[in-house]
Amino acid sequence: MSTLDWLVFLGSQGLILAYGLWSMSRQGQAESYLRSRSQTGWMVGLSIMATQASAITFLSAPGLAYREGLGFIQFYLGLPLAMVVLSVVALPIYYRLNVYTAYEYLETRFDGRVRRLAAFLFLTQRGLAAGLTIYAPALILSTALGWDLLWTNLLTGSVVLAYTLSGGSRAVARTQLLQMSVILLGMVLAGWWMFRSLPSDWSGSDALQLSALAGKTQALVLRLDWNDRYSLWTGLVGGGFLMLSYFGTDQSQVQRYLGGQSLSQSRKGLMLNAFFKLPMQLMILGLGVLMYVFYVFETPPLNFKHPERVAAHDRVLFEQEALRRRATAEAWRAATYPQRKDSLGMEFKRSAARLDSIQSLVSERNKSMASGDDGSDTNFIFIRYVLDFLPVGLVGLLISMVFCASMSSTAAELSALSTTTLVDFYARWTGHSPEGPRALAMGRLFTLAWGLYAVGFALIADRMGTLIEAVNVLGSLVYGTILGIFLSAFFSKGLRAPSVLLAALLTEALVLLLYFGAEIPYLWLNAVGALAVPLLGWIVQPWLAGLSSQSPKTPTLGS
Amino acid sequence: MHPETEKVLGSSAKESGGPNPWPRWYLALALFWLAFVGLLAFLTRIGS
Repeated sequence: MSTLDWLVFLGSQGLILAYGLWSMSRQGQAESYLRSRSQTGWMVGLSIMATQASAITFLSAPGLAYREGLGFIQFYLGLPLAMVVLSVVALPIYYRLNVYTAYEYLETRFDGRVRRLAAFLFLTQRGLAAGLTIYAPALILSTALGWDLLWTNLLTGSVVLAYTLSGGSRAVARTQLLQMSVILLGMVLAGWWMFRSLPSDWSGSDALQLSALAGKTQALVLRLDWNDRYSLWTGLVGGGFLMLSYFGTDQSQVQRYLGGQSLSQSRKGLMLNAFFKLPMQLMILGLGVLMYVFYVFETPPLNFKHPERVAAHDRVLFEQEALRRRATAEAWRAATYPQRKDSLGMEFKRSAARLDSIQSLVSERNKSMASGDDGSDTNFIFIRYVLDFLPVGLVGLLISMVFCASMSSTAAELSALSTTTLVDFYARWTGHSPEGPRALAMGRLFTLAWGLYAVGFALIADRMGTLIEAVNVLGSLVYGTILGIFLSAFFSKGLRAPSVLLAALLTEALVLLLYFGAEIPYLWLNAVGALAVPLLGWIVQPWLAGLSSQSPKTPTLGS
Repeated sequence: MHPETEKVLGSSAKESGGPNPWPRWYLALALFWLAFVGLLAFLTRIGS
């Protein structure tokens, strides 16, 4: 990176860190360390979006669209419906009960065991995920920029820990506003630069039609096929349940919207997310499609991750085909007769397919050459473009954007992990209040402990090979069960604690069996888990009648 | 349905005593969603 890039990068990160630390001076009690009830709807919405959008979203999604097109957008189609359900059902209940964490509600409704099980599942999954949100972008940046992985991990981890420790939930929310601004600015400027780098006689419509020829605008799959990873149905049903679980029961999100000034402001935050998430994600994927058109005119590397691991004859073959594709694209655009245009369009498709097969062949070879390397270069496509083609200054801003995305997610995760440990375990067991100076000290101690755990996991993650993949699917393996517990609490009047507890354990076993035994696409597991808990609860309840003699509790205001 | 959930659904967001604004938000969101899926269908169609 040039000096100007370093200035932009360090300047923006320094500003965010200083702002986070300044937030410390604005709070002095546990209430705002755990839950800052001071945000407007816009702030809540941006905070929710910043928490969900991790660095890997911005690094991977454009690369995914470059290779496979816009189909991934369907993953998010269930999100607006999930926001409405949460806004109508879960949010008012959390407000009425004045809870710090979502799991407190489960004790009011069932008992302490169900609360601890859900909180434990959350801590297990989110603790490892926090390590991954530090490690994954650090790995990509260190590979692309030649930085040392250890120091990149430590830098990200220590900066985020510094302001989360000092300012708690308020600092997380306030810094997320700045981070989200940097992220949006970076994406818009990268898209603008990419578009202006196309040949001057190419219009937006030409670029769109060319990307459509290459199949990159395939955004909607309507057929109902169990094996489709992304379709309207997997997005609506599987994705809908996943979003319901993530936003409704994952404390890293619940803590964000409970930070609203009022129920109304928290609702506005959820609605903002419902309206803006889909267009934002389409914009990020659109960058990948635009990048594909850009690389029609600029021969792309045969492998974006390891350009050096490419045999000379493969490279020559690839470059010749890339030149043929470019010439065909230019002839296709200039053609006026429909028949000629169609025939050139078909030729462009064939040429693009040949390039894809050469690229796949090289990826397969790389996969077999190095253990732990899955051969895919998808995560490196966007960052390679940033480093090779963006102008000085903008490179620094985009690297800063990746750090912002990483830190905004990690900070929310650490804050939620600390709050859950404090409220659902420490305060519950010791009987101490989760507010006051003692709780503030314990909250900071738990934040430090989880921060060290996450950084520690990030440091050893590169030695764990396939375990990293296991951490990635862990979310889908437990989210369905947690959501099932909450759905039982919200919608069933008669289900009792022992039945729900047993049903949750059986469901978890079922989900694991389905994932490892039947190899079902992971999005469906969320729906299966969410529906199985109440269903199994009703089945086992008669058998447990002797154990569950006490009547179900009804939550009361302020309990 | 649990009594607490019924209570919440029954009193849905009439916080200020005025007319409940949220059903209009949800309707607008449903229309927005349909328009967005329409856009995706259009993008898919130009590629086929």
